[in-house]
Amino acid sequence: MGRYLVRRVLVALPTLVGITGVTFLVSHLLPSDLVLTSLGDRATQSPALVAAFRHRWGLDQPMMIQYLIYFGNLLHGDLGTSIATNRPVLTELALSLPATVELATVSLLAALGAGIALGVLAAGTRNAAVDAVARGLSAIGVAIPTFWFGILLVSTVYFRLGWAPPPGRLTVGLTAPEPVTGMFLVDALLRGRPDLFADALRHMVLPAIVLATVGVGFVTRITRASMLEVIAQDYVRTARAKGLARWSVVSRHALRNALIPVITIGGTLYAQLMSGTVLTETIFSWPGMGRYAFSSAASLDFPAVMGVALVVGVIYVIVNLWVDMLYVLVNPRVRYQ
Amino acid sequence: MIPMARVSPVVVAVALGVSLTGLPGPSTSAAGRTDVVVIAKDISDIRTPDPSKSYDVGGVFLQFPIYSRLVKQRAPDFWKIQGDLAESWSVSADATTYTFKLRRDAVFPSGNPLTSEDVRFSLLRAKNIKGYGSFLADPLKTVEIVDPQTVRVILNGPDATFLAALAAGVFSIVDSKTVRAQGGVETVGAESLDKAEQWFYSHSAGAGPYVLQRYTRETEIVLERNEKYYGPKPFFREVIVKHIKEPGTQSLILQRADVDMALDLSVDQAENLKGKAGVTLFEDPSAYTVYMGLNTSAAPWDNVKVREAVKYAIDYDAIVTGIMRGHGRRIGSIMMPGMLGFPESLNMQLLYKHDPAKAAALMKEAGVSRASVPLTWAAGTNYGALPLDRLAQKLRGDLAKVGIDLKLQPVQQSIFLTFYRQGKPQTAIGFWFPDYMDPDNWSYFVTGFINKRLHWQNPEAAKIVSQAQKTADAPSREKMYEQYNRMLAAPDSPYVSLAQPTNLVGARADITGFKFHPLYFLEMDSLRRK
Repeated sequence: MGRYLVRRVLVALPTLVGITGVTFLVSHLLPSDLVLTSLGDRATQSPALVAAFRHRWGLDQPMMIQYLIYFGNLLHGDLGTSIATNRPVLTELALSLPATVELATVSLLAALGAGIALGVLAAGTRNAAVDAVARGLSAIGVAIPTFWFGILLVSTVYFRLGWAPPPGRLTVGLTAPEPVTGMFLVDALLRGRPDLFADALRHMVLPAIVLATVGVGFVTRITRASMLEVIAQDYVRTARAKGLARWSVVSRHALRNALIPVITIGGTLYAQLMSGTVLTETIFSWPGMGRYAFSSAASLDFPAVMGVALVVGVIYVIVNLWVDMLYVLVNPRVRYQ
Repeated sequence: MIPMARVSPVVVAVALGVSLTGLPGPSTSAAGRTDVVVIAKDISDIRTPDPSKSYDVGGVFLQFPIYSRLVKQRAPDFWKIQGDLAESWSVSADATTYTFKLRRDAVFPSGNPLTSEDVRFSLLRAKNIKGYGSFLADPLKTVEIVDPQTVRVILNGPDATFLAALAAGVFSIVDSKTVRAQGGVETVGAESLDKAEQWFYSHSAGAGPYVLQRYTRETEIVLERNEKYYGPKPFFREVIVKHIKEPGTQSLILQRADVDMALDLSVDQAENLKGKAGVTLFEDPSAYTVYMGLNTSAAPWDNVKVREAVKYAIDYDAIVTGIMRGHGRRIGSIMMPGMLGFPESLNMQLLYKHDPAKAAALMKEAGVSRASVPLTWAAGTNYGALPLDRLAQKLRGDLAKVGIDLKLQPVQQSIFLTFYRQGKPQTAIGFWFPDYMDPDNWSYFVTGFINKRLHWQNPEAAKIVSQAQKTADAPSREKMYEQYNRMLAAPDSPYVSLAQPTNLVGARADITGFKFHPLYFLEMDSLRRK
């Protein structure tokens, strides 16, 4: 198992190096000029300022050298400095990543909870109506445009009904808990501030619903299909024949095996949610990775864009590893050599 | 790990649902925040909270209430320069030496009184730190301390505009002792020696009406009243600027009184807010002026008659009433009306009449019956209250009537900036937004800077503005800029002046004392609650 993990990590390294290479190439092939865009209209008229800017950001070096310098710094754990803000990219990611991780985790739990419940219900009841409702919901969940749904929730649940707080991570005027992880829910608990925990959670409801809705559709479909397959197997019939109640059979025997494909889809979902969701973050004023990636790209902040790409790559690698580990927990017959 | 099979997913789902919706509801009224004002604004463009480095629109908005400068300009007479930290000043006849007498009652929040050294340190730091706004300090040669209350600013050459430039954000005066203690450096080489920038994220060192509590990227700006401020005591103890990107959301949270003001409303939202209970609108002329630029190196714009025809072919009033829904006005030149040398009367005089018949006749005279040319602009953006996508459609419609087919080529903003600054587009929607409020800041349309992009020269106009920049005598300057504006509006010029949009601010009805500033948005210290 240990050796397997080491091997997986080693295999991931070339992928990550590839990501930096491709991102670097793509961002430097854009038909926009960093100097002309970053400096003000009049500053571009001053050769001294333009030269200082180019030198400061290494733009006076050939592209290959620029990449090698970047890569060398990366080996020392230095993701470079953001051109837009002059702060280390790592510092900025440390601000936006926790906001995204927190929202992604809550959304994933909601999607899994609701999706598995609906899927089991649809497969388990022979009631065609329940099945149809579950399938309908999952179809809507997959098809609904996130942007439209987000705006709809804000304008109804927040604006008309007043059941949810306005966009943002905390109520205006509240100070975020002293950062430990940067995730408000976790930090609020660590700092013994249940009031902040509740406030942060309330602010998460609407964006989490938007993000979870897409996932619910997938999870329901997969759970339902997988459950139907498992229920049809001999050992389930045996369990039923022993006289166990139907729900007991479903929850104790069938569900565990049926969950394997759900874990796979859950992993993909989690990685997607973690890599940031620009539209949802924009609507809900959520200062996460998606927003950071978007504004960095718009202002041609190459070090920041590369930082985001790299972090997203690492997230995919880690999540995939977790998924593989979860297989072992759910199904002890799975072994990695 | 809890074995999955033991926990019914239904129970999990129900528990999750209950815990999410069953929490206490939000408080959604302005009640209880009498001396706190909450403002919704898109602050995603702020690059740094360091006043000497900052140059972007959001950045100067952040620093305006925190820092004072030597001089200031206030609505409505922006051509008039008033003292702020400077009590009085004198300008040498050749406009190269400016001597300022500082006020004695200005004290920084640290308790340090304002001295000449603070002025020297701040101005030189702005120059040597080589930040985004440092080009404004290019004319600066040196700053001399005459005595603790008197400071002399010496320029490289004559520059009559420098007094107005000193009202720009980059020339904010900082507490030199405090900033130096945080690693601030003002000498040559400051761009690599200065280590103070990070400190400005959670502190400030200005003598203005407010003190920075904290600034968090794409989240909020929190300001506290500076109890040591030398001016009238601001009404609000605390100012919270909440980052809301979407103008639509800004409008919603304003209506629900979760914020007191919304600063980025579009024309449509402003129209929808009209007549809504509890909400009021403030509308002021913005510093944006919008034009269509014609690249004279390419057909058909190389033909003077065609350029003139275009100026008669556009239905300007429909742009103002239709696309801007009345939130703006026409302009006859590119300068912001009301500046020295461009009074409203001259603006009216220079407007082109919408006259399709005359436009058609001019096209005939030019010998051009059909032409096809691309129009490039920054897709999806607004210049003030003017949405460019709709403007482009309108221009296309109007020009089609005289036989010119504008091929619409919207591009992403950074690509547009690159293209336009390289002089590539054949037709472009451009705008100007001043760095500071002096007519000279609108002179670049002939100095070889903007006009180069359109491959057009007017040596006579270039001579006039260069002369005006060195002329300290206001009446003489006024005449020169008048002449300059007439030249920009002449039939042969490549600029089709379109509109000056207004700035729209939505506020709760109990907010009064709103004073707009075209560069900094608003004067926080004059805001009050009824």
